[in-house]
Order: sequence, then structure tokens, then C-alpha cells
Amino acid sequence: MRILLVEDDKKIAWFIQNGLRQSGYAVDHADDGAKGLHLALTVNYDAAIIDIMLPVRDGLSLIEQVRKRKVNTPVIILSAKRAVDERVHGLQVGGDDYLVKPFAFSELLARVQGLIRRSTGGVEPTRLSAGNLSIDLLSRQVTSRGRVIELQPREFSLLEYLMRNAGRIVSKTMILEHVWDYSFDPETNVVDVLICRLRNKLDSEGAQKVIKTVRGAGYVLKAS
Amino acid sequence: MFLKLLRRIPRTFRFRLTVSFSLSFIALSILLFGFAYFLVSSSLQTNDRIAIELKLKEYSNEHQLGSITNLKRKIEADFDSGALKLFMVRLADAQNKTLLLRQPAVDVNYDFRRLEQTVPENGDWMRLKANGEDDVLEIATLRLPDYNLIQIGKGPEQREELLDHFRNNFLGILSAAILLSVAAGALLSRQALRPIQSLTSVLGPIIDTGKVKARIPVRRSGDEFEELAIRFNQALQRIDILVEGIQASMDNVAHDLRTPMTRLRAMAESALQSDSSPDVYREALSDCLEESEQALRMLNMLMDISEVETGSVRLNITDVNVLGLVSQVTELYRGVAEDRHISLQAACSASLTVTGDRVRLLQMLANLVDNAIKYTTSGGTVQIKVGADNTSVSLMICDSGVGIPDEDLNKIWDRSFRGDKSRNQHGLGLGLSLVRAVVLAHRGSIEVASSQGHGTQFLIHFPLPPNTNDNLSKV
Repeated sequence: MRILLVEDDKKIAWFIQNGLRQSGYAVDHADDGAKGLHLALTVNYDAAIIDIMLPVRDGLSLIEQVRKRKVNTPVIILSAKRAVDERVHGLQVGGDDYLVKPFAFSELLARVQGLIRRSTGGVEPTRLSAGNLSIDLLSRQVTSRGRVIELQPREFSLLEYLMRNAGRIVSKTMILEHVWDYSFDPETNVVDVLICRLRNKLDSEGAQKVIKTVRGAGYVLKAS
Repeated sequence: MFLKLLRRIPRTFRFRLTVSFSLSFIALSILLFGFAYFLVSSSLQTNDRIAIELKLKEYSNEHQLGSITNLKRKIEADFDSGALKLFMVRLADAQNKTLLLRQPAVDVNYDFRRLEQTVPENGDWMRLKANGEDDVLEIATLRLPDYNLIQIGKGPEQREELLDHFRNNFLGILSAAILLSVAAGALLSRQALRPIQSLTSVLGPIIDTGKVKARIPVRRSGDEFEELAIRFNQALQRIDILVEGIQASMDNVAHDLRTPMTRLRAMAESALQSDSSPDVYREALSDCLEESEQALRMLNMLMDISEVETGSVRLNITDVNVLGLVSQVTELYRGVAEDRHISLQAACSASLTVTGDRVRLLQMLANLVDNAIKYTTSGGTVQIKVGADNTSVSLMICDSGVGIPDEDLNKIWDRSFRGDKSRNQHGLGLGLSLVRAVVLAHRGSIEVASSQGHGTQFLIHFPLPPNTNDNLSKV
């Protein structure tokens, strides 16, 4: 899997490159829009991460050009602007996803993987399992070592989300967006509370400490 | 400098106003003169003709009374007395042979022999052109009963003299009028543009220095300039509010971010100073992450507030189902409420809608519920009640919490206010500022009532658009 990264800030670029390589991706980095466009048009990438504010040529026009040449590489836009208008504009010119700086690397990774999965048309699984925990997405049943665990709808969608991203850190904002479709960070830590309830239910059924808190970053469900 | 000013003058509105005023004044004067000139000249001509006709009648009478000799004597007498100084009189026989010719005492040379060549009809007017000049002698003819002819004519010389006089006078008057109109135009435009000039002189320093507190003096004249001045003042006021808002939010951002930044720094610094184990580093890094998350959250909130307050980002207005909002928010806080043994209840009787930005309204309601839960102790209740009447949709968020002291009720909307500062709640006092900003941006109103120890109620009204009767019928 090869990913194109167009980002002019050296530290951010290094941080993303490093993270993606550790996750097993090959990364090409361009530090301005023109080089980025050249790479995007000459190399076949599985995904591209493109910053909006770039020297020489801005990210939006880069994406526009790429789409004009009928290159369908999935694109994630990085931006420091979080206004809805910006987001909509970014998606209109041909971006597939939009991430506001600063972001958690785990979130970027999850989005990249999501995009690649969607563009390669991966088959939706009907069952997910991690360790001795498994859930049936059709009957919405959770079992641990053969015993059924009763979960409320929100607890189920949280567990499903964690299991889809098993082994990876998911941030609080990602959970808020996926479980409640809420894109702000409320003052009261509603995510903590739901995680806590889910943990209690899982632990009481013997799935000991499958959900780990990564302080300051989010939560991770052990893959095995 | 002076030259530059001089070059600028023709472009100024004042100059153009003066010029156009003067030009129209002059044009009007010329038109009026032309009309008067035409009237005078034609009435002079008519007068001359009448005089000629009267004389003809007089001579004809004289002829009838006496003989042709009598008439001749009469004519001679008339000329000698100077009564016919400018007239021509010709007496001719039946064959148009001149019997007597008296010429007008003018410097113009007429060829009177030509009169013998044409036999005019009785009562006709003849025109005799002067030699080498434009002057035309107008001649009337009368045939006497004895077939003799009598002709009297008069040239334009006397009329011309009068009209010359008239023209010369007019030129004098016109030049005076031009001067007067330029002066009047200058005065008028100065007068007319004075309000604009005072506007410019006030606006100049405001724009140069950015002191938007100054206001343009409004003269109560009831005219367009008063309106303009009022509008400008309104614009200045709006700018003032925006600038103050930006200033205040910058201050708040700086203040609120300084604390987490300081903590971040301290954590990183202390971790670096000691030669510790990776676990200690890991701990310090986690602390840093958490702290930066906190700072980011605050920054976002401040940005949200100023975006909503200043309207810098437009609201995405749609019809928003209130029940949908309420259930999304109760769903979000259900777990937290249960955890704290607080009963979270929502009463939304029908599918009411309000027009607004769904995301912002959701944020508003969530902040209110968040706030209510935060200040409600175990065993209490938090209720969301939705109602509607003819003109508005109301949202009420009640809690049985600790309440807000009377003296603090007005301060809760301040961005930096935090209910009870000794309790180290996560609340940053920003939530309620955002709530109010969202309500006001939707032209709604918000009230708060509280009694200490019994709870707090927030009551929000959103005005309904005029035609929502179908909306009401569902209630």
C-alpha cells in the first residue's frame, strides 16, 4: 500500500510519515503543491493525504487537477480551518474525507484505512471477533466464551466501533461522532461513562480488561 | 502639493455640481432671452406694419378730400416735420411711373427704380432688398380711386437699433448671470456637500486610527443626510461591537490558553529535568496530551462562540425537528445521568419544528443539559420541556440542582465566569456563553430563573415564522 503525503510543515510531515510506515504503509512525501500534483499524476497511490495551505499550489486546486485527469485516488484533506463551509468546499472539489488540525494520528490512520477499504470494495463482515469476544452484526449479539452479554444499543455500537478498530487507538471525538453522531466535545465526559459501563458488563462476563485507556489519546480494544 | 490639489479639483463632486448648476442656469438664461428677443422683434415688426397701414389710410383720406397735389403737399409737410424720417413714400401714376419719391433718412442704399418694374396688387406687401446689405424695406401699396399708386415702406434700421440695444444689454446681464451662477453654484454645492464633508472628516480619523468609538454628528434635519449619518453611525456601532467582541475573545483566548500552556510547559520541563524511567516519561507525555486536548477543546469553544456571535460563519438554516434534537441530546447524556442517579426526562409532545442551524441548536441544547447535570446532585432530576404557542416555540431546561445565587445570575453568560470557582469542575464557563450566542443568532430569547438549593430553569423562546399554522395544528 502506497500513500502520498503532501504537507509543507516538516514536523507534521515527519510525524505522519513515521506513523504510517510503522503501520506498514509506503509513503511518498511532497512538500509543495506542484511536486504533489506531479507525484499524484505519475504514481498510482492507494490514498493521498493533502494539506490545504501549501506553497506553489494549494491543496484544493491540486485535488481539482487530479480529479480532472480522472485519477480516483481517495483523498483526505488536512486543514486548520474547521468551518462547515470549508469542509463542504473541500469535499466538493473531490476530497473524500476532511480532517481538522490538530488531529490524533490514530484518527488519521483510521480514516486512511477506512478510505482504502471503501475504495477497494472490501466485503463487509457479519461477525467481528477479538480475543474471546465476538459480536454478530446481524443479530446484534455479543458473546464472550460462549456466554451472551446483554448490551444497550449505544453500548453495542461503541463495542462494534472498537472491534472494527481492534488494536488501534480510537479517540474520544471519533467515538462521539460514530456512536452519537455528535461532532463536539461536551464538557461532561460522556464517552468515559459509556466506556466504563461497557467495561463493567464485559468484565463481569470474564472478558478481562479488553478495553484499555490510553491517556490523552483515547481507547484501544486488544486485538487478541 | 498645490498642483496636485488643482489637478484633483475637476474630479471633485463639488466642482462638477457647481459646473452643472452654472451651465443649466446659463442655458436657461439664453433660452429665456431667445424667447424674449423673438417676441420683441416680431412685435416691433407688427408695430411698423401697423404704422405703415395707418399712414396709408391717412393719405388715402387726404386724397379723397383734396387732389393729388394736396396729397403731395401733405407728404412733403410730413417729411419736413420729421414725422416720416425713416419711411419711404412713393407716389406713382396708373402706369407705375414715379410721381414723387421720398427716401428714408438712412445709410442704406435701396434701388427704388425697381419699384417701377413691378406693379403690385392692392394691399400686398413687397420686399425691397438693399444694395449689398441684408436690410429689407417692407412696402405696402394702395391704389387710389384715380388709379394712382401710393406706396409706403420702412426698413429694419430702427428695429435693429432697438434690438441691438437689447442684445448688448443682454450680453452684460449674461456675463453677470454667469458670475452669479458660478458663485451661487459654488455656494450651493458647498452647502449641499457640507454633511458629506463632515462625514468624511469624522470617518478619516476613524479609519486612520481604528478608533470606532467616534460618531458622526447627526443634524435633525429629517433629510437624506440625516439618514445617511444615522446609517453610518449604525455601521460604526456594529463595527465597534465586532471589534470589541474580537478583542474580548482574544483576551479570553489568551487568558484561557495561557493556563494549559503553562501547565504543558511545566510538565514537559519537569520530565526532562529528571533522569527518569520510561514510565515516568510516558506519564508526563500522557499528561501533556491531555492538557493539549483540553486547550484545543477550549479554543474550539471560543471559536464557536465568536463565529456565532459575529456571524462570521453563516448559519445553515433548515427546518429542525425539535423532538429529534431533544432525543439526540438525552441519548447523549442518558448514561451520565444514570451513572449519577439523576433522572433525565424529556417532554416533547408533538413534532414541532423550528427554523435554524441544526448543529448549533444541538450544541446549544447539549450545553444546557450538560450544565444542568453538572450542577445537579445524586437523586435529582433534569427535565427538558418543549412547548409552543401562536408565536414561538419554547424550550425549558429545569434541574433540581444547587441553583445560582441571585448576585451571580447576570454573570453566568460571561465567558470567564465559573459558578463556584472553588470546585474544580471541568466547566469553563464557556458553555452558557455559547448557548446565549446561539439563541440570539436565531433571534430567540433566553431567561434564567433560579432558587438556591432548589434548582435552575432556563427558558428559551424561538420565534415562529409568520405562517406556521399547520405547525401549530399538530400540537
